[in-house]
Amino acid sequence: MSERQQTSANAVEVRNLTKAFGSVTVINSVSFNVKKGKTVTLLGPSGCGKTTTLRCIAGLEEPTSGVIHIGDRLVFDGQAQFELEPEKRNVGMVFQSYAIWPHMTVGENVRFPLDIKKLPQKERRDKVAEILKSVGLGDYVNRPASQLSGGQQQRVALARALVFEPSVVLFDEPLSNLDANLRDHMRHELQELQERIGFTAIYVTHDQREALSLSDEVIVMNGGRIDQVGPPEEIFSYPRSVFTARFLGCSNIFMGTASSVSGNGVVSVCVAPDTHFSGKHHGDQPATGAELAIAIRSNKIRLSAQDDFSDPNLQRFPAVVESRVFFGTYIEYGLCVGSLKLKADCEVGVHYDLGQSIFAAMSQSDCLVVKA
Amino acid sequence: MTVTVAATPGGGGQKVQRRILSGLIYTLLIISIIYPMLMILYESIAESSEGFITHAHSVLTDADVGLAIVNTLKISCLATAIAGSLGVSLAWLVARTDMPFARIFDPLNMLPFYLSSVVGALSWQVIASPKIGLLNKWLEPLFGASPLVNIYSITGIGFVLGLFYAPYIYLFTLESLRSMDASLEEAARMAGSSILNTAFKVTLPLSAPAILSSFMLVFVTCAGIFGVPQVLGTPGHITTVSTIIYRAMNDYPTDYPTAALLSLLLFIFTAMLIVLQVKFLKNKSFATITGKGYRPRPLKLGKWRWFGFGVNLLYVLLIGLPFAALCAVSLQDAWTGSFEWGRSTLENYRAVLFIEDAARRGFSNSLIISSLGATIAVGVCFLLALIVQKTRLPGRRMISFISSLPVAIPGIVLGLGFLVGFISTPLYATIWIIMFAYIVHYLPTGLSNMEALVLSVSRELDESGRMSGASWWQAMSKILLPLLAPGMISTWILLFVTFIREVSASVMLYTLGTETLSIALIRIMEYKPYGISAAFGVLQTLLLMGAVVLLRFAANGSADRKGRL
Repeated sequence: MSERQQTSANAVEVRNLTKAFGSVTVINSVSFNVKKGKTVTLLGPSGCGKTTTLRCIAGLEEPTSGVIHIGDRLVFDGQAQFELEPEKRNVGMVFQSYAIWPHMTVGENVRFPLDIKKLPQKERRDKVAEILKSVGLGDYVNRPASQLSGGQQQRVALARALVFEPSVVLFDEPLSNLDANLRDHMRHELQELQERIGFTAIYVTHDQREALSLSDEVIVMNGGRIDQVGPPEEIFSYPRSVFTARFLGCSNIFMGTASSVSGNGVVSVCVAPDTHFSGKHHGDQPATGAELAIAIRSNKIRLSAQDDFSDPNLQRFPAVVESRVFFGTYIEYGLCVGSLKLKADCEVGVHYDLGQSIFAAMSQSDCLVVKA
Repeated sequence: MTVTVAATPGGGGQKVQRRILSGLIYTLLIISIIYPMLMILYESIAESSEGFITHAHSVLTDADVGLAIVNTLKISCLATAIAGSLGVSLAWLVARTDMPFARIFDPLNMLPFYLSSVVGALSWQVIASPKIGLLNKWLEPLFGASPLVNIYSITGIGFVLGLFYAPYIYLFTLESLRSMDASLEEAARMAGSSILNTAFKVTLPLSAPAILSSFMLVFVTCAGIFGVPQVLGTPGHITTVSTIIYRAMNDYPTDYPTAALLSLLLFIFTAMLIVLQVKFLKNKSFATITGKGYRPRPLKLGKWRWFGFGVNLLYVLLIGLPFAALCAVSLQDAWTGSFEWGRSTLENYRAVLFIEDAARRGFSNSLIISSLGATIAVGVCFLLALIVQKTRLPGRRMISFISSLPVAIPGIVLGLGFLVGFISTPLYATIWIIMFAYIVHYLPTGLSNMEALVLSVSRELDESGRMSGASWWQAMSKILLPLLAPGMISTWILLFVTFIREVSASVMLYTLGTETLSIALIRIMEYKPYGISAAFGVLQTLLLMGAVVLLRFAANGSADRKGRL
């Protein structure tokens, strides 16, 4: 009981959730909380178990074991063999395909949850009108749902998930079916709506931009386990593992061992016989000799034809230009540093020739020490 | 963890309910499918007086039985060859070439699928019976008195079956050709392959599993069929396995053990081929269907396009002209070999509709059995499809498997199983046992149709209903049911049509007073003037055509709905 009382500000609580399909375990003892009014994102590649986790919370999938609370209500307990039907969980959901019912009008789609609840007719009409207005479809009540564009279907799905004021709204990759421009637009709208209405949300995506911009907290999942949890800035700036670092765009990752560890969080990592990087670690202090990895974002590496960097604290390495790819806003150089391959983004206008010997440099704080 | 136990309303009760439900379904499936087949086994083993081995030996070494088996194989091979060559070439012409009027030919080629092959046999008698057949009459001056064509022969039976089963192969081939991603063929063309080379190296190998599996299906169906061999085989004393089973049951004294033994043999033969077919499809089918894909540009046949047109027209005429002749016969008071205006009369129709008791009973019995049976079958199949696809009921895969078993049981065998299984129940000698047998026999058709329908609707559509607060049943009835309604109507009409023309199971189960339409037709053909049978056949065909028109409307409705999804 005491465990529950201290966490009553949580809209959703997941404890040791495990789900196996036959001999394949897709979720392996996952635990996390979602605070009321906040948005939590499950981020990870396909097959990491994020959608299955969401469907277990929704009640559409039966977990193998674990405990799930929504608000103050127990909805699943594997040990007690208790499972609450999905419709009794008071949870809204926006599906990947939107799942708009083609045989109903927009209004009928959105009114459906209220019809099930048998609210007074006037209340149903008012609520539908209000929610459709707030998603920008005020004039679409009587429009057949089959005549909507992708973006409009997305709005109807959102309205339908919000109209009955559920205790949490689940989003299953809701933007993945839209084209790039519309996706950015809908992401902004979603952000605005969330700020205005303040619903609690669990959001599943494989797109780090969506995860970072929409959430209060990001849960990175890998192979059915939680890899790292934290606010977007923290996850992005201080990944703890090779997986999270790579998934959030660190393109230079080198395995190595800790050759020296100092008290202020600085670790020197030996990645090749004669190559050391010294970087910052942000988790538990590693022991000397521990297997670690260095992660460096390609846009944090500075290049120069001579060893003439203004900052004397930079670590610098002689490098040979191996490849050069133009990306519009920047140029990506492939470099050889000893036996290592390094990728560095450079502003357009600075030019190095293939085969040219140059210098690459990076600060200690941009070399992230992560778990191997 | 004390909280959890207190908050478990109905958690255990639900499990019990599930167990009761699956127990109920298994009981029904076992009574209606497993039990009748076991009864046949029992009859053939336990009921023969001289012991199973001696009896089996005497039956199997009987020359008549041997001849019937050979005849059955000959007929099935011939029918499959004719249906196969017609079905594949017509499908290719319609789907892949610029043959003129392909859009009109497409529904016409499918028409025999919905018509009765017994009426087909009846109408081919007008054309090609040795004595009065029109073809023989016209050709007599050229070739002399000996009849040139004889429909009362193995060739005749195989030919009529081939004509009427061509649509099955046509349908499978057409679907396979149409759903195939055109870029597979285009890639071959870009790699330098010619049109014909592409057809033989890419198109046909890719659709071969579907085509060959439809060949197998037609072969198996023709091996177990009763109606056409009975109608066309009786005059020329040609027997098949199904007709000697019938004879064993209708001669006095009734020879149950022999009928049961032969039924068992027929069933084992059919089941083996069906298992082979399923295995074959599993190992060899290719995933050629992709979401995108452009309709391939039709192959230009040049001057050969009118040849293609001729081939397809010939098929339509082979179905249509005998039927026209049948109409002509039905409107004459006596058939003299040519239509005479002076002999025109509707007397035959009056006889069928108002005088012949068997015919009138046939109409009313079949209408009741077919409409009620199709309704029950659609309902049962809908529920089973939902249970298999939309619940976590334990053992639901097994339910699906058992329900698909009747596909391997020929109608006459299932009929015999129902007869020996239920002869001592009040069901016996009612139209309800016939309806029951129909529903069981076509359970696989109905269920696979329904499962395909249920699967065609994204699961997120009903899951979103659950997330909106609807219970399982509300989500199914308010969301899935309206979405599936057009498809359910199509399935209903398909089953209705199938039930109206059913012969094989009915022939084992009917008694005086419970004749179905097709049984009444076969009975009347045995003892009434030809004109009356002709009128009866024409009326049955009109009834089926009416249903087909309705079916096309329903199918169009569902196509529109799908287009909007």
